[in-house]
Amino acid sequence: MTEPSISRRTLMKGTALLLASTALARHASAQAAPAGGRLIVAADSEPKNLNPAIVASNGVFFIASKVIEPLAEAAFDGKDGLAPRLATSWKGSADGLSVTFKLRDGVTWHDGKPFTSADVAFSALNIWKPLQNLGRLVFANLEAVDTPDDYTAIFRFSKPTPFQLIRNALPVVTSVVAKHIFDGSDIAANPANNTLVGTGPFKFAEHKPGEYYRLARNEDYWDKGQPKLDEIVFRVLPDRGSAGAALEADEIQLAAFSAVPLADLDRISKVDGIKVFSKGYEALTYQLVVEINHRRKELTDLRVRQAIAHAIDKKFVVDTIFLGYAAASTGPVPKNAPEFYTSDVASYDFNLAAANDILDKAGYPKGSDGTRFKLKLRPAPYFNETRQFGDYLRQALAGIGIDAEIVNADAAAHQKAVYTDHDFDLAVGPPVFRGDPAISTTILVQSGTPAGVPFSNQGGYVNPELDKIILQASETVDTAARTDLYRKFQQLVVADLPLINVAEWGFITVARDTVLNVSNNPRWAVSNWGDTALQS
Amino acid sequence: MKRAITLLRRRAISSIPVLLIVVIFTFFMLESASGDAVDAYLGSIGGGDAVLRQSLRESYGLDRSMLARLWLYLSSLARLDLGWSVAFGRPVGELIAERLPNTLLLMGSATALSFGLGSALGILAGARPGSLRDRLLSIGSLIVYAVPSFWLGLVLTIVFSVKLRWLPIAGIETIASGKTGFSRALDISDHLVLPVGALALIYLALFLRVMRAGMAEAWKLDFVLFARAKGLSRSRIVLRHVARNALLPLVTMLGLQSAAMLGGSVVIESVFAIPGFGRLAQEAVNGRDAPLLMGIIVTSAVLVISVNFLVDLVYAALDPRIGASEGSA
Repeated sequence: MTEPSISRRTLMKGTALLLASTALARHASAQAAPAGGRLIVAADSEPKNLNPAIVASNGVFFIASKVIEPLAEAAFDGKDGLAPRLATSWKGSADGLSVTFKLRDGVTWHDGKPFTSADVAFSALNIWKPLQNLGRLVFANLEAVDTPDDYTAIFRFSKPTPFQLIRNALPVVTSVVAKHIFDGSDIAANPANNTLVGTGPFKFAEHKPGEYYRLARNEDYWDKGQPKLDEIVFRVLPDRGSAGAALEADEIQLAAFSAVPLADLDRISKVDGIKVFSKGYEALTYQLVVEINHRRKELTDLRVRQAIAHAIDKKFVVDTIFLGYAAASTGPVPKNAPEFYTSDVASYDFNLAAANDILDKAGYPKGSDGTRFKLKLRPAPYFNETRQFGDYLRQALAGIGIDAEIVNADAAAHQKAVYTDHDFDLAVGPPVFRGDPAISTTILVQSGTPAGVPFSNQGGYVNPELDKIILQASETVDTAARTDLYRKFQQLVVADLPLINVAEWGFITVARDTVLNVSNNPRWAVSNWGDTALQS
Repeated sequence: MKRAITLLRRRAISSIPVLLIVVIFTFFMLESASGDAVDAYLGSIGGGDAVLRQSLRESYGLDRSMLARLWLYLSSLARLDLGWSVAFGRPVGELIAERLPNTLLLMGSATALSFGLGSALGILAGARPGSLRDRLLSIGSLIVYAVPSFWLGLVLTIVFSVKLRWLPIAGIETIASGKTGFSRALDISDHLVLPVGALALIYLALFLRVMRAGMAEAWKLDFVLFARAKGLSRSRIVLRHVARNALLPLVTMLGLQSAAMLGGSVVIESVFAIPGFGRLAQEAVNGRDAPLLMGIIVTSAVLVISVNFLVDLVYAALDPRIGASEGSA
């Protein structure tokens, strides 16, 4: 086995996430794996658009990443945490105005046509930059892509763009699609968005709506010896209880993204032939955040925000809501991003007396009913844990005399209320850290975002000093200086609390023993599964 | 026969305003909810910027006024075009045609089973009201009726699929099996045993109770007393006089239950991962897919109207008085 000899029960206890990011990070070469077989995996949704070049999201990657490949993938032991895929090397210029990619030779598309730099240039300029939900930001200053030969692509930027950002974003924003399939068509409406043609180890075979996706082995995959499996079937199982039962009955062999509810893990981990993995999600760490509406008078007062931070028992949240499968946060950058993370930030220990004291001194005395003021609290509906934390937060706030009224809503109503109408005082959100603070983290606190942008600074927080650092970092080409700016960014955010980071978590994969090479990279669930195999 | 056709034509005409009211009411209900398809979609893909949001709204036609959209929808509906699903990116009619057969199969089997078995057990219970058998059946049905269907579904799965491994856990057929013809039909029926069982058990209890109550009532009626006084055998009285009389309210309830069962199938289809109509409705709600949801509601309304029409025909056959008045009107 590739895993170090840490027993399952140790993993179950508490520090799973930390272990995953440190001790488990070094892993040996892939298991000598038998070839063949059909792997059946639980899927809980069917994305409307399956093209990862247009929609960079985990739901899409889960299926599409086996068919369409990025320039590079995340790796536990690669240089800068990356492993080459369609690009074999990448190098940024000193002035930050260009990045040169050397592309892999001898790669063919699933329809037999050769893969060349023209495909990369087309994907970058016609899809990633103008159409992709995340690429629009990362490639905002991309001006041209030169293709001096078939296996070189030089990205040219109109403004200095940090190579560090481009590098960190490679796994997420650079899924390459074939120029000959999309060129000259209405890209957003092209049927190839759902019947994918890629270069990956698996070919898209079939989608039976409501039932399954079937991917078949690509015999001509560039990485000889891969894939190991003949087929991957993503079986649509909308009910979470069914996923666990289907695993037990061996009707499916793998459930990723915590498709088996946390509450069932203890039981299912004791079932013979079933294993629980908590690693393989380090590069897609989710964060549990209390979002604060800075338009609300009481909440503009730093002391009130500090008191709220003091009222939250992060350890309790990690142990009770996440059953130990999470870690307490110290700030806006998770520990799983060691390149940027600093623990040198202010801390707010759990202390109700101190919190009450701060509020008393700040001029918000308790009324005759023990209440200082009322707030509207909107927990995001996306995960059980965000809703459960909403209930916890309400209780925690009651302990310091703040009466929070919980307003639950479905995804559409929550998005509109929080991000467009700003009809909330506190919200509980699950933003994702995507490898670099510039991709989806700084937007949470940067001022000037228009209303309606999801997972942005919906609280209307304005801090010129912080804005300056964010802007500076977005243009700083020097990696060390840029990293330093993001350390300052963390310190400033934690000191002024535009939002409160409570916990950070990855997901859980549950698999039959027969599935080999599970969770062997930091984005495993959304990587290509070329070396994944089935023991016969 | 002629009477049935007249009845059908009259029903069809009278149901048009009903459908129109349903559509307009649903449209405004959806409008009054906060958030729309673009909000739901952007939330599900983990973000995007303001320009993307605007262009999506335009492409979904959400930037047009509310009345313009309602008019557009009604005029396309008049051409029997159910529109384009936002969440699936496919025509609504196609989606419904794909999912409806699975639900009809599920509901049809469950209805037949619950009606057949429910009335039979109801006869057993009502044959001797107050007896031990009656009490056991009545209490049992009460317990089953009180159980939530998703829980029943999960318990059945754990017992018969996980522990005993007699039956498949979920789905409508073995995935990507390539089976055809008879072996496919066998495979599908294998997959239907648990979901039909779970759905039928709940309604079975209801039919049992109504049948039993009707029979207990009928025992007190004069013609039953007369039959007993005539010295007819007990089994003959039960079947010919009491049960037949108690069947009428059951048939009425069959019509009403068809609507309720459509709702119940949402839960069962989720638990058993059956790609049916109920799950489609759930996905439409989650995605705030107004055209799809309207299509589903219109189709359900048509379905309920047709089932009720059929029930009326059966009723007329069972009780000549009703048929006569409809025919002569």
